[in-house]
Amino acid sequence: MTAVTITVDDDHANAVAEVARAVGAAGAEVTAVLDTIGVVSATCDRALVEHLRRLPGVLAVEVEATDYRPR
Amino acid sequence: MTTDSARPSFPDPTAGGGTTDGDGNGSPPARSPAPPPPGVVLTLSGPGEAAALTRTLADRVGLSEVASSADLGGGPRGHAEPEVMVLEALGVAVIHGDPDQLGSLSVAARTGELGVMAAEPELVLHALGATTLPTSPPLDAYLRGFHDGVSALVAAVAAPTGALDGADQASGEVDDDELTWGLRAVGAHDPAAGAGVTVAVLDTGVATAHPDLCGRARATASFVPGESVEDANGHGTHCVGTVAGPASPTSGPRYGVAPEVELLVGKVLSDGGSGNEGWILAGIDWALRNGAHVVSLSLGADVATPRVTYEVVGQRALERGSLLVAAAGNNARRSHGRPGFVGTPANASTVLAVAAVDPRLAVADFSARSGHACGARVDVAAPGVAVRSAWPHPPGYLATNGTSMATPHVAGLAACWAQHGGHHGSELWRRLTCTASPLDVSAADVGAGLAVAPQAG
Repeated sequence: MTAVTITVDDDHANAVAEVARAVGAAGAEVTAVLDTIGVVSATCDRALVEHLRRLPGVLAVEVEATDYRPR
Repeated sequence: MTTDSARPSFPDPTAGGGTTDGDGNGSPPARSPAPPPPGVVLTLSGPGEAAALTRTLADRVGLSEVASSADLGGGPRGHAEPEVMVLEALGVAVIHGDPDQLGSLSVAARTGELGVMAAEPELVLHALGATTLPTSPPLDAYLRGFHDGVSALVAAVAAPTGALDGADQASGEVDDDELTWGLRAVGAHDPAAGAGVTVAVLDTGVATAHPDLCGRARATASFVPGESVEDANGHGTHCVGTVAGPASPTSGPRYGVAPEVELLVGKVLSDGGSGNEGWILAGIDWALRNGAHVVSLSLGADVATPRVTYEVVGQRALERGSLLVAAAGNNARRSHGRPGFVGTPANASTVLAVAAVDPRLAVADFSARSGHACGARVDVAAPGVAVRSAWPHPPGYLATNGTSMATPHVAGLAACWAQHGGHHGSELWRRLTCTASPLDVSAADVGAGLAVAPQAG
């Protein structure tokens, strides 16, 4: 499974939960719905990423960068 | 101890990458005999994978001289280094070999033949001071490095302490009795600075019992599974102190830029000093929901390409009247001709990227330079060398280095400007950059210059 960060487009900024439901229905496991910043965190098979990118309301799907460190 | 904050994806065996050969504090060069060239650290899928790995290394790469962690300890060893050192309890193997062997290892790791989780360049680590190392029997430079390397691995897996960002203890002699050098440089004198402004510090948490910070935060939250907001690392406490330390600390000079700021503390990096993007984004979301005008992010990943997420999140924050401030990164080694690059999230054009300068207002050796990607620029600079602030462990204060230390200076200054003129979001960004004091350094290194506080009158 791959952790992904899904950025919701501006037109759906007030419908983040709706986009999250679509992400879940597509087969991803939604791990966080961040209404305020318009982001959905999820895990999914890497093969599903392209499909998620085509969902209504999705601006971008990026594989999560995992190695954040103090700077 | 100090550690190289640069995290290249995989060592080029011909480039000598991965060595922390300068820690920015003028450490003396390694004594003879010279340490062997750095190797590669493999993180195994599990401790039980060691046997399979050693077989593969022998068959595929020709590395057959294997030692286990049971061979460690017992005093200095000879200079003959085993090709494969397996640290079974950690599920880690340290590989040395000639460039051809490391090249083959690189290929095998990339193609998945080794079945390892990660293959990273071995870091040669340096202690903060002689007192942190055993002195009898004497150890040569390489064994000191090896000792520190193993200690760092153990710390990263078990119970880490200390900053992990290239930090370096400094004497603090640059400070005076009243103010740290950083506060004096940026003109942060006002004891009521930051009143009415909310700043969130998203980092490794905070030492809630520190006498200067006890009860200081209006709200705290941890986004790290299984860990409370309590800071067992120290990095977060240091950053919180720089933003919001008191006007009259328990000991030593004032080190907090905005003592009266309304403080939020979110833990998005583990006590081990690492974090996932999901934790960080959840922390930003929480901070904005709780009314943060400024979000201080002394963290990052050495990813040169800006990510869409932070570009959009930064813009949405600005539209809400909030400002994300992030560390440019410590991946430069300017003294060795490597200027580095601004990593994520600071390389988003909507996130204010902060570089570090030293007490002479020269750019710090480790401070990353602007990159070529859109937005991947340094926006402003602040004190980031020999910065004294709160620390969870005795004596309660530490002077240390990093763009991490510069970032909370700017977050605190942003609070000062928000308080002073009611500036928020994009306007606050403009106030910080337009009022910055120009430095005799390339804008690619320090952006608009040294961020400063509004002055009375």
